[in-house]
Amino acid sequence: MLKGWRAFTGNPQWVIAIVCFVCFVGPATMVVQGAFKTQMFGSSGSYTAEMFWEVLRSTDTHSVIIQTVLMGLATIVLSTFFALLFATIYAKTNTVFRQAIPVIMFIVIATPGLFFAIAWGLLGNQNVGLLNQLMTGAFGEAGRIFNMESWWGIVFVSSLRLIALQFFLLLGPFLAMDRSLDEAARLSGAGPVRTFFQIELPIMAPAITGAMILGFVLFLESFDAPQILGVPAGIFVIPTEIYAYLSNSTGPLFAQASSISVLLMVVLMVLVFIQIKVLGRRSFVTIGGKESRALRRDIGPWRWLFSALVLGFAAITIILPMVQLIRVSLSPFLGASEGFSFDNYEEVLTNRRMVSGYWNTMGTAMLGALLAVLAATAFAWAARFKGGVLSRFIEYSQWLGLAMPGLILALGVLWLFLGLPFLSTFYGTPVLMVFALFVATIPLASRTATAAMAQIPKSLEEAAWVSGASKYRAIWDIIIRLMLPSLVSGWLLCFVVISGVLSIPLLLSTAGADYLSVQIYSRYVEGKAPIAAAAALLLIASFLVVAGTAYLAGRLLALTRPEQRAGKGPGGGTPADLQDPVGPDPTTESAGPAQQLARSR
Amino acid sequence: MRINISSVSKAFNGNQILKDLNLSIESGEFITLLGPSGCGKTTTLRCVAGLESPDHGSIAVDGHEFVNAETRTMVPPHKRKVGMVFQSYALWPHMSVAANVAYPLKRRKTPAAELRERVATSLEAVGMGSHAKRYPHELSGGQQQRVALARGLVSAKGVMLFDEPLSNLDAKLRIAMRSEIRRLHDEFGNTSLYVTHDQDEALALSDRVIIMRDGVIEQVGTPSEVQRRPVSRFAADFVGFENILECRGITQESGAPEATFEGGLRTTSSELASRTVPGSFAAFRSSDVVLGETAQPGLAGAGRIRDASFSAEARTVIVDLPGNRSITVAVPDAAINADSYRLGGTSVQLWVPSESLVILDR
Repeated sequence: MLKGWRAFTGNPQWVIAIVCFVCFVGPATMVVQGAFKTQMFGSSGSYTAEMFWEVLRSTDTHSVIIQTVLMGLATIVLSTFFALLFATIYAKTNTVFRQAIPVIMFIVIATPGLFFAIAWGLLGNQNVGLLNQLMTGAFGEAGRIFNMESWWGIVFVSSLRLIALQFFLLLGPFLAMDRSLDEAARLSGAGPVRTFFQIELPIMAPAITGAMILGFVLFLESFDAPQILGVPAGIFVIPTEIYAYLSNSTGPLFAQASSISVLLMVVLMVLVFIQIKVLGRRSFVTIGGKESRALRRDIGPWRWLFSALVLGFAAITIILPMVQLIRVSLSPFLGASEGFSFDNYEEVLTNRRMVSGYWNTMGTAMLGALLAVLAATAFAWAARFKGGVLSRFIEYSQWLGLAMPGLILALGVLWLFLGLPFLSTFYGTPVLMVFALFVATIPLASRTATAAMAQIPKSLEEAAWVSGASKYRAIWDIIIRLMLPSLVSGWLLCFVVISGVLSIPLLLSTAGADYLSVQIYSRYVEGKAPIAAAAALLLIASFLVVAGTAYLAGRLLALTRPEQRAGKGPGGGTPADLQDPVGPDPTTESAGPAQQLARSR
Repeated sequence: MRINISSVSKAFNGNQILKDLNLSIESGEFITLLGPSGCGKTTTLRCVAGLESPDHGSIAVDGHEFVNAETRTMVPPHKRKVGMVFQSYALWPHMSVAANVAYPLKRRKTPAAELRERVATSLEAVGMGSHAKRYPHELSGGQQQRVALARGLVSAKGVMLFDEPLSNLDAKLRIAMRSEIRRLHDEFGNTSLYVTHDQDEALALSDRVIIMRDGVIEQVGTPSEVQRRPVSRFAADFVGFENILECRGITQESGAPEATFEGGLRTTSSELASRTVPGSFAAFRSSDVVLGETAQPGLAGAGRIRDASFSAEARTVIVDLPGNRSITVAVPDAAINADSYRLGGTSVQLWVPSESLVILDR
């Protein structure tokens, strides 16, 4: 009987809290230690703030910080404007193509930043870019105006993905807004335009502010676009500066890298905190129910302009990059206008490092995504199992994960494994990378899992306990079964993110274990863009195959229980979750994964 | 099965929800915990189910200790073999009706043949025999509640717990389900513990009603006892005594004692006055007030009609009394002159018969 007491009241949150500690607090602590310790590894060495102050005082650091802030501001101004515009078009107007907007946005979010950076880098290539070729065709040599490897090029490419992310963040509040507020303004004598600017926008102000802060956070964390487009032009932002220290030709400058990382982490933590306070936790859970009541206005001829905007955005984000990638992948060399063939694909498929990198990526992504989704489910379950200090620790420590860009996380993980004696045996094995990618994806998986769990009333679990199911039995029989559709789509998102991530593998992939994104990146910077493009397209094709398989599996699962297809309950819409590009609840739930997806780790 | 709850206390975040609660329930009894939200009735039920563990005290069923905070004994909920019906029904949406009902039996390793038979019998008993293959979302609220009942019944080995099971149903269905629940209680012979804030439900269902307030028991009694003889103002208010007036003093002017109440009401019999002391209370229902003059024993006074509204069986009239007090009077719609009370401002005499009055000490 005594055992029974302990087994049930003995709190499983302890185990979860320890896991959270190792995953989030561990790497962060190691980075901080790295900034203040003279001897990198082991117990020797003393603590000093000398290097930290030196980095802080250097004019080089100052100019990088100013550069980053200015670029970030330009990016979020641009992205917030367009996100707001598209959210308004979708939620408030009868524009013809409005239904296509969330689909486009979802594709943009699910496309790894690496692809965008490469595709746009190619599109806006001064000599051979498709855009410049078109312009030259129209206006002669003077039309060669696009150069993506520039200040505005980075801002432009960075804002593309932020637009999609902020669109989903703003969509929820837009759709949830009570139409009677709007109607009251109209009856008080305000025209539709005045109502929009004087009533709707002010009501949305907290949501817009929240979306802007998050946009800034994500810009500060983004690595792919600044690295691929900025570094060749000599433009550095904080993450690329960190990488520059680490890839220094005379050996990595660890203390400098971690000093600047600490700085960035502190700023990010403050911003993440403000963002969560401003936006409130409500934005991540379901508000639901009201979307069908949103007021849509007939905007007359404006809808043609707005339709053109939607098509233009689709062209910029999906069609042009794809066309460019396909064209380059078929070219014998960059800028070729003839001799197209599949040679590049053949080379990718026969290259040993490419092929092993591909399988390594697939395996790592599948395993990492699975672990992340399982851990996130456990975290979400533990956080609601019982309130209190442990529950809050589990929740807050995940914010720390949000405030660690991929590069810094990779650095922390590296030192965690090198610094702790019992972990150092894993150094040089894929364990490091799986662990880092797993930790990096947890915040994303967590949003999906938390949103899905919020849909399952606690009483369903309690009813199982009373009916004779033990705690763990009830998790399996009730929670997992009901969350399965969401978990599968959550896994898919994590899989795509891990497959396309550049920063973590760049630091952690070892000679024996190549990673495809690193291979693509290095081919691109070596000037072998056609091969990079072919490999990137093969990876995209793999996403489609995996997504299709998951979708079919969901379909089959649904077919075995035909009665459930019309389900309204939490477990009901099995196939719909995978089918619907914006997830089961487009208003708010998808803001979670979207938010995380937009981060270029 | 006999349920014994002794000295149970429970606090949430320093907020004392249950304070040294003692209660013993006889085998086969139907007990209702009645009280406003936050009075601890649901917490009591959840402690019996094992979904909460008390900070102090113990709960035993037929001498078998479910929980004892002092010896740190706790039988987890899945080993208690109780049946529970949740307010939200808590049917698992991914399981059919039959699978929902079969689940408790499966967890208890019931042989397949017996399982099938018991699922069929219990679904039959709640009138859902023909819906076994349906899924919860295909059922109406009332039907879902029946399935939840059937699931509770197969799970119960003598103890059934109900957590406001009817609060999500409409009024008509609620009354029908009420008698269903009582019938199933009698048929299956369980000991039932039922939580509600609806006094009609409590009175209709129970052998004994327990009125709870702020984590302690205010009154225990049969439905007719709590209905007719509340022990406190709180209990009286909760079972529908609209008017409660405090005694202001006793005078002996004309030889016989006469008690004066708030609003200037006076006793018209020395027997009633002798039961009253200053500071005690007279409680009476609006339907027991008679408009007009009388010499019969009781409580008499005068006032001015402020307002009247029509409701199902009677006209509810609010009468302002002297001293800024008012009382509610229900005038049967069939009464002569019922319409004349419609307008405010009319002065009226009123009295309450002695036998309709409850004198309360607290």
